[in-house]
Amino acid sequence: MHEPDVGAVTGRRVPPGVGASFAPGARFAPASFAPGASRAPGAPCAPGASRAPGAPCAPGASRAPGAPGSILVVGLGNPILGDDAVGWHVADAVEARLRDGRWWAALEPDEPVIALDVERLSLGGLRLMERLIGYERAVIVDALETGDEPPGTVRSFRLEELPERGWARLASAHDASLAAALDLGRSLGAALPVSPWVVAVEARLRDTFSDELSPEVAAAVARAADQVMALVSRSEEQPCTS
Amino acid sequence: MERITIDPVTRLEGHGKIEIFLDERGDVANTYFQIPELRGFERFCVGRPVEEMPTLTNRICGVCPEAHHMAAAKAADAVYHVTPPRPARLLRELLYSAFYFTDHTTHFYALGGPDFVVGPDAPVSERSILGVVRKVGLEVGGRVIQARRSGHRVIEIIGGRGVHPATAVPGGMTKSISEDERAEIAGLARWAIGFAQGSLELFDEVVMGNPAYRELLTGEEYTDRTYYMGLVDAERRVNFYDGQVRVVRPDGDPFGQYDPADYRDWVAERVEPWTYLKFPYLRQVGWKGFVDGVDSGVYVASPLARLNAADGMATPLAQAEFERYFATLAAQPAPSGRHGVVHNRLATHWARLIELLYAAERMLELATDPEITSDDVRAVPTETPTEGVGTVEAPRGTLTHHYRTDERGILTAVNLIVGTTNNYAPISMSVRRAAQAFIHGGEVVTDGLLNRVEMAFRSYDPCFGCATHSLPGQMPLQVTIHGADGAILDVLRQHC
Repeated sequence: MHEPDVGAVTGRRVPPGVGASFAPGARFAPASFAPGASRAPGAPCAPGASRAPGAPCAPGASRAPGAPGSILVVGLGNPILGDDAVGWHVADAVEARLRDGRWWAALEPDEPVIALDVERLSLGGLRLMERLIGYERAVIVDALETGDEPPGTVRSFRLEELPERGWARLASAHDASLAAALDLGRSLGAALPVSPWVVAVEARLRDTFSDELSPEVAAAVARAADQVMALVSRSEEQPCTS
Repeated sequence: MERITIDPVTRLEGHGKIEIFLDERGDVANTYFQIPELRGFERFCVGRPVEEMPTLTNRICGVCPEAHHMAAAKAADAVYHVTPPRPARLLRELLYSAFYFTDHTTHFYALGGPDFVVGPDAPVSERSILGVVRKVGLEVGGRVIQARRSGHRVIEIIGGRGVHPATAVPGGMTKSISEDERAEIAGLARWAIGFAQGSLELFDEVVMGNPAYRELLTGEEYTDRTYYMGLVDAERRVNFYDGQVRVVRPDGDPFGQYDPADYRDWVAERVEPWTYLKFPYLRQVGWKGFVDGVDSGVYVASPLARLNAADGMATPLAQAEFERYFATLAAQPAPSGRHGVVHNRLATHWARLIELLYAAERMLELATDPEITSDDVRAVPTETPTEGVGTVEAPRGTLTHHYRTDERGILTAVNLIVGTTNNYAPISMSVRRAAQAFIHGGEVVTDGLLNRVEMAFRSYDPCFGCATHSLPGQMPLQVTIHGADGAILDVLRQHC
């Protein structure tokens, strides 16, 4: 089990030896629409703050929505509904990679500062959109059941390139699809990721409560985490499949 | 016989399927509303400590985790024979009122409202919250988002996190709130009252001010005369968090009132061969099939039902709206002289907005209670745990958690009756009635007609999965029409 769940874990890229590159347990309040809101997620620097390549932001700098480089990785799913939990497991794996300093060290020194949050959520539609506010980029990991691919197949799409059906959660049946929710948020002036990535794990979703993944899906967790790391490592990503 | 399948129903959490069977003339012979049930939750829980249930059960549902959190905490209180101190009960109700405010807002603007604001015949792509915003203006959209944010903020302050609260435990709460937090909540509540009033004005203007919609709200197409159920306080006013369950008859007279722990003396469950989900009904009236009337034990638990079952609202502005609602829609009093009942299912949207106003007013009442910042928020359990029932009104109906444990507090049995399940029979009946009213032999079955059938169950705000599950993502509405020989004549698909 993954409790506690929705707390964001924040990683901030700073040069090795300068300070902690990872702040476990950091939590952010729900995102806000209001410009200048004090509780926006992710971005470690104030707008306009100087961003010398590789230089760390000042500790305690105010967080502003939409600052360059802020990324949210969301593991979506119900943690007690079998393979539907795969997004949460991938989020665990992503955090484990972030704790390993080698990933940070491998980044090119002149790449922009990355502020990376990881969350596990059981949301769709409006609530999911509200959680994305303030991030420049987002990667969403979810289970997918198309029946066209063997369980455990991992694929990445832009949100607008999603297959039409088979999603567990990306379209909340209870209010709006994520795409519609993002349109609504943008029309209201919210700072939202332009084109979120989705990393999908083909699963066999059964309506039976369980906190275990099927073997095929469990075996895909590391591959899906690799794709997430590849996506967040690049400033401008290309589609990838495995 | 022809067969129309709506699969799955659009904009429903969980994946339902409606099948409409036509007779030789092309009129509706019967309808079936099927819901796949999530399985194995009791088995999943047995063997775990009962104090895990408030955080575990709020994982069942991504739509109303707060309702499960509260029902589970109350059931765990009962298992440990402990009554939380008053400040803890106030905090729980305050969190719960904020949740109601958020949930009812979302339903009206994202789910129920589009049928009226945009129109039942509008293209599916327009019948969404985006369509509503285009019609009534960006400013309203901004206020809807502000309303949701306010509710989530209150839930986060009291519940420890904004989505799946974690602070209600057997005997009370794990933390109190500060004076600063109290003041922030009070400010949000004052804003929320104005938002709710504005929403009622919008309903008045868009729905009651439109003769066609007014006719739908008062006509027979969406009317079934059933029993109604809801939690009431000591003065028999609507309460979401606590109280006794009151049931009224189809003519509006009281049928009975009971302590939630006695629910099995009042509610029985009917099994039908064509669906896994059971149909609850009033045990003392009995199951007579999918029919309404005083001899049929079918009951409704919803905003419509709560207002019918109660004698009033506990806050002044909501009470005034309550009186206006019944004066408009149920001028005829019950035989005993109490207010009449409203049977039209579309009126549930109006009832929901009255509850929205009540939730906002109640937030302010609780946030200005002198005890709300008290540190006395936990009575530590000392007795041996045994068995307990916890009931709250979920937005979609009376929600009951029933646990039994061994002497160490390890669960040995778990039973849940979730909000929407109460309404399974009446939703099935409403779908049938609407289908019979709108689909006739020789007429082309258009999307608009099918949407009128969907409006029947959308009014209940059903949430059948009672899980975060919502397969498949795009919720295609598929209509399959079968000829008398079973061959598929036509397939219509749409995406929303």
